This record gives sequence, structure tokens and C-alpha cells, in this order.
Amino acid sequence: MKKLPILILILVLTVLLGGQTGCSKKTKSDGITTGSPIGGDSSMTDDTSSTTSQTDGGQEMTTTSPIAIEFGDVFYDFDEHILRDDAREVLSHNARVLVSAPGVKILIEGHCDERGTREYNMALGDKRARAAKEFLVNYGVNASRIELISYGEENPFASGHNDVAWAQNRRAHFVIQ
Amino acid sequence: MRLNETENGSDRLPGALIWLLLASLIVSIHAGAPGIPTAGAQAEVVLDVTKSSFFKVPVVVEEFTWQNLDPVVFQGRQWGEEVLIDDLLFSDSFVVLRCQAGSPLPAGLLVDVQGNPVDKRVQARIRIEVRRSGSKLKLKTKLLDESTGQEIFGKTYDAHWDAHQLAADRWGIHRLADEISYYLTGTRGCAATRIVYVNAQGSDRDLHLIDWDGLNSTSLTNLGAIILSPTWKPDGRTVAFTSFHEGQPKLYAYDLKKQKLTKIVSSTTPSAPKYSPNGKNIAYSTTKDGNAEIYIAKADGSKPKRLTFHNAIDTAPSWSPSGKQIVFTSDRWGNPQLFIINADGTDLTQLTFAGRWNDSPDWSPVKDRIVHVCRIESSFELAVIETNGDGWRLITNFQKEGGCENPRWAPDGRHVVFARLIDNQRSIWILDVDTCCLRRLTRSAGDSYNPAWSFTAKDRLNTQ
Repeated sequence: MKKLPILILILVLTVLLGGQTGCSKKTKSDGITTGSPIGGDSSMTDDTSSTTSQTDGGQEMTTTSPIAIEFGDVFYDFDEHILRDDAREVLSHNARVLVSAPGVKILIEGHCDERGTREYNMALGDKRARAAKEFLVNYGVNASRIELISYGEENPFASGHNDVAWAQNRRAHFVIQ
Repeated sequence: MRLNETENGSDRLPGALIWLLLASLIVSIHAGAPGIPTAGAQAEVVLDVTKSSFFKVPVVVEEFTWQNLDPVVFQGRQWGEEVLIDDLLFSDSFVVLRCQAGSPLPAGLLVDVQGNPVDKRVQARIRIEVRRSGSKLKLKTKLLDESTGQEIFGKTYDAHWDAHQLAADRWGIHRLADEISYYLTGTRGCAATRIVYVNAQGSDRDLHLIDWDGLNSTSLTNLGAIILSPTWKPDGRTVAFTSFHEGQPKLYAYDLKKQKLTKIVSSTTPSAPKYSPNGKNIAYSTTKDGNAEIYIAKADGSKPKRLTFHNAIDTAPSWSPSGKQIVFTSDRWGNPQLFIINADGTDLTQLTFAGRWNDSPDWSPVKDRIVHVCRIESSFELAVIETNGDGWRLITNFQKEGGCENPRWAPDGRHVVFARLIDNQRSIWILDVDTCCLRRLTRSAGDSYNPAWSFTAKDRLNTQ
């Protein structure tokens, strides 16, 4: 439930893109451990190390393989924009995907549940999207690849008026631009 | 022009001052009363009806007389003394009786139009002669002292007459009802006002306009996008709001008369617009500095100036009647509370401390009090507080049927319009803060929310 894949994009036509970075991937990947950094303390930047991400799970990718790009939604507590541990895990995954596909730009949508008034939630949705972006930038994703939008409570994922729906609606959602 | 007439008129009326005093007495007494309505039907008076009617002014409305026009054409068209009576009742300031033109009231115990006995002396009589004159109806209005027969106030109002549709606009009646309210209670009524709100059906959002008695609902825009937070400019012909129709949310002003949409703020996530009382400035929130801060710009969006400086959410500004202060919501100490700041950025003070959630403030246009949303356990209720921090009290107690949003004052500073989530749907409601009489305004399909009450309009604008 928490890791609902909202958008799965198979970029078959990114061979060219992959090809551009593929050489460096192959040559530099050996120096990179397969462990994925958790949290925002990575000092990697995707300028120099699109190189660093391709060995996700220890499997070396070939340049001709399609790249599966899948972003998980990030969920928040009520009236909070602080990232929970599960949010950090999802964001780490999202960051790895972004680093592995440097041509991809994203829009992070900040959403709120319906409680509280709309104007406050516009501001809160903005904070949530920014918190997600900050994590990605700290991870090493170039900030220029990330745009933000706050939908406040205006575009709920679940339409109910209960705890289950509210928990699903307090989220940051990633859209490929 | 009309204001001058009114002021002159009040000089001729020694009783006006008495009613003013009585009106303030009503407020002070009800301020101390628990007065908490429960959830329920369309219109309910939660306080004891006879008790609250003690403070209402009994007036008698004569049946209209007609010249050059057969009143039969208005049957079933919601025009005539019915409209006037509704206006007077909706103001929650009057007990209304009706009688034939020129007839004296019968002796003995009288009954009002709602079937309740009238145990007070009837104060005034309203006599209206309707004369057709081309495309206009002239409403020759007289307000008479019921005991002496003396004329308190007299004036002729216009209403537009459509000979093809056999229809007349109700605006003339609304306007005269408002002036009669002023003469008898010291407070101008708000029958000649409208409410703008957002209606959402599926992903379709639209701005709707409705008379304050729930009639004449019209659709304003068709932007095919998320819109929220509409707010009136004091000129009565412009509504500003946030819209997503260009992708990112921006602030727009819609001129109702010219039907023209203008982008006024292109900043990041601009929301919660509110025009200053003189209409020259607009306050709003934007996240361009990394979190929501309040800015004040000229009404056209130019020369924005930052008002708040804190790494927390600052939003939902509302102006004091003088335009010198602003109340807003901030979660700078962990949860949303209300703060007041001078419009020049000085003298920040915290207004609310109680509870974990106080949000969406609206400063009364006539009094030093603020209505806002307050979270009580899991319910969102309405509360009022004096601007000096005294007199905080809940004005709703819906509990599980709570879900109150965006309370906004009527120009009379007595009624509040708000959105309420009930039965899995949002609708627009009106609450009389002094008597706690509750009315449901909208029953349309979909969600209706984000209401804003217009200022007292001088003329109805043709927005059809």
C-alpha cells in the first residue's frame, strides 16, 4: 500500500541516452559498492556520477537494456512535512532511479489530506514537495531536474473521508516531465 | 450618495440610537450565552426561539399595492412582499407580521408570519407601492411608526422589469430591506449581497455566484482547472482567486462586469488572497522564499512587499476594518495558531494559544472580533475571539458532523458563511453568530466550498 507505484515508464528508446553514459558506467562502476545509500548524506552528484547508480542490486546493466523507471510515492504524517523512515527508503530508491537516468526530469507534487483549510494545505503541500526535493538534491540529483507543485488538498488520490484515505492523500507524488 | 441620504435620514430618527443600543445589548448578552447549535436540518434556531425573538424588532409588512401592473404576473415568480419578508427574516433582526394595505392590525394576540405569537408592541409598518414605468418598476417605500402613523423614512427604489419574461429583478427589494434594517436596528442588512464559492463536480471546478438567500445561482468561470480561495474586491465587481489552469497555481482577478480574467500574481504557489478594505492592496501567501510567507502588493499585483519572516507556514491573511492590521495563520510554534501583525510589518502578537489548531481567520468588517476554524479533537468547529484575545468561544458544536472550513463574515458583521463537510459532501452554510440560527445555502451536486461574502453592493451587476 505504501509503495504504490504510480507511474511505470519503460523507456525502450533510451538506448541512445544510455549509450551516452554507458561507457563511463562500465568503466567506473567497479569502484562503486552495491549498497545503496540511505538518507540524505550522500555526497554524490549526478554530474560526475551518473556512473554510480547503474549497479543497483549488483547487476551490471548493459546499454541495450531498457531502463525501468519507477517512482514510489512518499507519505507523511498529519500536518507534517518531516520525512519518515519509510519515506526516506522510497526517496532513496527514487534518487537511485534518477541518478541512473540523468535525462529524466521530474515534477514532485505535494499533496495533503482534506483536514485543515485549503489555504494552509497549499502551503503544507509545498513544504512536503520541498522536503522530498531536498532529500534528492542531498543524494546527488541535480536540483535543476526537479520541479515542484503544491496541490494542497485539491487533488486527492483517495476520495474517502477517513483515516485510510487521508493516509494515502498525504503524499509527494513523482511525475516524469 | 445613498449613504448620505441614510445619514441624513438617521438624524430624523431619534429611535435609531435606541435601537443601536439595543443591538449592542443583544450582542453583549449573546456573547455570554453558550449558544452552540447542534447539527441538523436546513434552518434551525438552537437558542430558545421566543427568547431570541425578544431581541427582534416586530414590524408589519403591508401587501404591496400596484399601479399600471397586474400583480398576477408575479405569482410563483418570487417577487413582491414575499421577497421583502424573506429578507427581513433572514437578517435575524425582525419578527414580521403581514396585513392588507392600509389596514390596522387587529386587536388581541397577534401571530407572525412564522406562526409564532408576538408578545411585543409592533414598532413599524412598511408600505410599498409598485408603479410600472416603461422597463422599470418604481418601488415607492414608506417606513411608518406603527403607533403614531408618522413617516420615519421614505424613498423610491428601482427594479428592472422585463416585459417579455414577465420578470423583475429582486435587487430593489433587497436594497430597501437593507435600508429599513439600518433605520430600525442601526445595522445595515445584507440582503443586497451575494456569495461566491467554488463548486467541484468530479474534476470540474467552477466559481459560482449565489444570492445570500440561496436563489439566482450562476456559474462564473469555466477554466477547467483547480480553483480555490475566491475573495471579493470591495468594488463588488472583482473576484480574485487561485487557479491552476496554466499548470502552476497563480493568482487571478476576474472582472464580473467585463468578464475579463487578469493574472495578478505569478509568484510561487500564491494563495489565500484578500483585498484591503479600501481595495488598493492585496495580501496573499507565496512560497517563493522557500516556505509560505505573506506578502502585500498593490491590487494589480505590482510592488509586492514581504510581511512575514519565519521558516514556518504563514498564510490566510485577513485585514482589520481600518486596513492597518492583518490576522493570519502560522505554525511557527508547531501547530497552526492565529497571529496579528501591523500591515507595515511591526508589532507581531500571538492571538490564540488554546487548542492545537486555529486556522482560517476572518476579521469582522464592523467589530473587533475574528471568526476562525478550531480543531476540537477530530472535529473542525467555528469559534470567535475578540482581537485583544478575550472572549474566545465556540459558535458551533457539530462534533462528528464537524468539518467546518473557511468562515467568512457578512458585511453586517453578524452572519458568517462557511463550508461544511456533511454526508460526504461539502455545502455552504450560514450561521447567525448572535442567535446561532443555522441555514443551509447550497444543495447543488458535487462539493461546494471556499465561500466569500460580497461587500454591500450598490447595484446588481449583470453577470449573466
